[in-house]
Amino acid sequence: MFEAFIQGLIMILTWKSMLYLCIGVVLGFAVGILPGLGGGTTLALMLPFIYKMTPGEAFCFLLGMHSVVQTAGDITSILFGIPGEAATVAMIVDGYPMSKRGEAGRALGAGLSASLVGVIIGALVLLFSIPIVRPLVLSLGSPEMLMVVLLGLTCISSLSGQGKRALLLGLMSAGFGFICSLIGQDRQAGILRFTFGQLYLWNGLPLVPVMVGFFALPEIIDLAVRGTSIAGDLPEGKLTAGVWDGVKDTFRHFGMTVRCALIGVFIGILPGLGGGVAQWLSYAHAKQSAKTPEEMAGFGRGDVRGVIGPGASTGKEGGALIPTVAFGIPGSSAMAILLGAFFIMGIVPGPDMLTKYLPLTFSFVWILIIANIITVAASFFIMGYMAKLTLIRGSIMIAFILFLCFIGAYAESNSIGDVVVMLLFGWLGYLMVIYDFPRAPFLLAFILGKMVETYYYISATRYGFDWLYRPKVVIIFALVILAGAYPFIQNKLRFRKGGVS
Amino acid sequence: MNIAGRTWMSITLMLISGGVFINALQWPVKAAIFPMTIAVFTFVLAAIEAFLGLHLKQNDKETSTMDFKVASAEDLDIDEATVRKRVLGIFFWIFVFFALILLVGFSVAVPLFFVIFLKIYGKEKWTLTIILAAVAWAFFYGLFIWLLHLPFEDGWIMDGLRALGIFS
Repeated sequence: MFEAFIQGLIMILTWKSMLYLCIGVVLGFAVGILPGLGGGTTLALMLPFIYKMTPGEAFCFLLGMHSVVQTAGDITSILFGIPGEAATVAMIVDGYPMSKRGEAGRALGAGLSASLVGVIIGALVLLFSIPIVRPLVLSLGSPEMLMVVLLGLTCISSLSGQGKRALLLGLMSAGFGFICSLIGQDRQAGILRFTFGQLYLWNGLPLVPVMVGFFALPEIIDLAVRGTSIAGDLPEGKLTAGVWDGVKDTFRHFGMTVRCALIGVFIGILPGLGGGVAQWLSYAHAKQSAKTPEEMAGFGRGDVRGVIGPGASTGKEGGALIPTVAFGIPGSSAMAILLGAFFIMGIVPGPDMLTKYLPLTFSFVWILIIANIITVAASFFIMGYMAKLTLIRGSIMIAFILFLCFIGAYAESNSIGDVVVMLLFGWLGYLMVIYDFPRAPFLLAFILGKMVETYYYISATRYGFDWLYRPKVVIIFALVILAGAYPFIQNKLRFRKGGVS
Repeated sequence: MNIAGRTWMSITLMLISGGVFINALQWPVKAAIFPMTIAVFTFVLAAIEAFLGLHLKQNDKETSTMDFKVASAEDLDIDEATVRKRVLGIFFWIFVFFALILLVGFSVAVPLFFVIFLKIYGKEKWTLTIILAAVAWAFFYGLFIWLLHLPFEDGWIMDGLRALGIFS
């Protein structure tokens, strides 16, 4: 195993991999500080570029890009009070007041260094979880894998929404995702399903145009509706001295930083919760660390711990990779898109990642660490210049994103059909966003549809109905029920508590 | 009767899953088992949601996704009509880009779209418009044609002219 760990490092230390890693980091940084463009969207837009890369290079590019988005997103949250990413909102609460007080440098120093500590802890958890997860995954057969996927889908469906009907809407989205995955020639009997006489649809709906349309077009519409430049007319934050004081603050509160990073890891492992929840929980924990009412009152007015806590939640990146790599269950939309990259590279996540592709899996640990070291080091030098990107006018952003959407969709297989698919799924994505249907369950079901069908078919034909009584299947099914019931139980408990108080 | 958009989507999903189930009846069991299971599952869920949407007096405002949200009239302090106009406007421009790609192909559509979009929609100055169009075209040509050698269609107009023998 140690050999594979070193091979993982060697894999990314080639000049090509490092070049792609640096390009990914630069893109991720730019995307992170641009509120109009999400990390998931950019991952989807960049998928067409990985076709000619080796798996090592492709993941250096994509994972390097993705892992720095939140770190960079924290910069605009602190400087302008505008979250670069949906996941960096909690950083505003104390980061922006610090900027207004002229302590932008200290806030940035604390936020960025906490973010680096968080990522490193997340990567280490990923590293040490591999030997534990490996025997577990290898002991699972098709029926168990089917139930694990269902568990992931139920978790995502129940946790990706709020309210009484969130689970229902999530499961409907997943059902529709499965239906879309049916299109094309079926693997078992060779029957053409819903191809409508089109040769183009024989291989099913193409992954890249679906994801590009699904994520990028709603964001373009949002930019158009806002009708402004990204940062509006807000003044640029002062980047005065104090950066090193912020770094020292992180190490002064090192215990809290580590705990917040571990909260991030835990949230990352749970499918569907995402970075926003990780940041808010970490913020809440940081706030709990206040010892007196006066200290508590300082939160929200520029307490540096309120910056360190959310910053350290980047541990979620390592955590989210654990279920993605080991079980093929992505922890978030961005991880679902990354899962698409696995399939494009011809790699099926799951047992293979822990045997045949073990060095590649270990390379993820290195990519997370190296990409974030580069980002944090570079941030200290160029943050002022990069922040100016937020002043780009909305119309210019729309033109470029739209261009990338069309070209990205077309480059998948040089077919106008891909562009049509991208537009149709862009429209569907927009409808889902405005009518509160969560997109993550749809995407996950669409990506995993063929794999689930194979597991289901093998389980049904090989074991008949007996597979339903296998002990591991029963246990995982109980977890599925629990995951589905969890929001209701939580609501009941909250209601009861409210009633008592 | 005023039916909310979410209910319409649920009814559409009921129809789609019903269609999947009926089609699957004609396939061999091997190919039909999974689609039928999924179709029944989705149909039932969509029917419940449609029923709730139609029979609850007010739309369920409590349920929301933890996903990205498109800015609403309320968020921006503008009226609904303006939001609708902007949404329709951007859909129109997306269609324009697509139509240009079909008619003149990517290599002409990219700079042409940048010029008309930035000039009309963005009301940018000519200098900036031309610079950005050139940057976009250089990126497109440099990466996709020069470096990756991807084949791009010339568009219907060029194909038509070729068919008429005007271009070879």
